[in-house]
Amino acid sequence: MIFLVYPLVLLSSIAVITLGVIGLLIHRNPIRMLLSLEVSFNGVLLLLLYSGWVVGKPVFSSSLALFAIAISSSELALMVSIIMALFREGYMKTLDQNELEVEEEK
Amino acid sequence: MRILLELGILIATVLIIIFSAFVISHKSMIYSALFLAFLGLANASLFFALGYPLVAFVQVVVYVGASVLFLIISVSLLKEPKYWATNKLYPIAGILGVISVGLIFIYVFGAAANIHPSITSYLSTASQILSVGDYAVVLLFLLLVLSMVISVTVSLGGEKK
Repeated sequence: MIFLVYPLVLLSSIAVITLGVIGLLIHRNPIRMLLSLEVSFNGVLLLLLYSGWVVGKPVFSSSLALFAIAISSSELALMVSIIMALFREGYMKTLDQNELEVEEEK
Repeated sequence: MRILLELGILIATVLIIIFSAFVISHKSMIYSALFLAFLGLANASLFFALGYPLVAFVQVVVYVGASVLFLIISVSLLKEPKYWATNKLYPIAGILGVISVGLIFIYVFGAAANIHPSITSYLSTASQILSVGDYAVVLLFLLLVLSMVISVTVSLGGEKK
């Protein structure tokens, strides 16, 4: 069963990265794009740790993963604060994608 | 016991893909952010199963506990789309998500504790970080401080008008 289950981790990480990229391409809402980016980041993190586990360098990959988590957390906070500031300043009247499309049609 | 662990890994991988699809496809941004938190928790259980307890701990505490929670609270302050509550299946899916992630978390942690007695110990990871990436640690610290200062500045900038 070990030969069946552990490659599934690799496949699931690739699927998660693909889903994140798809979400990044199909959405135009900035928060949704950020969420898709975070989904993709989760897949990349899983791929990184899995590759470290396969290659046999778990310490190095876990160090890289810790750096990645810290940087992603700061990036997420920064992006959300920028989007909130843009929303409050009035540059974006709404973040609802459907309402934005209705405004564009008008 | 190993089969139990692999069964847990199998369920966790399926949950990860399901939660990713929910994050992408859900119409409500709050629920999308919530499913992102579930995705992070399921990811952490996989990390623990692969033998990275420290990374799993940091993922739960820093990423899910701080960042995604901040994202959920920020999104909840925004204008919510009107159609968010039209489908009653999504709250039920959220409750089932909480239960399933909690169960898989306990299950995988319990199963992995007997098989992978922490392949990467905390001391070896810390010594690796400090020996190889000491310059990167300083840069990371400066980056975190800078991002915090910029976030506070940007957030306060809107109130002055």
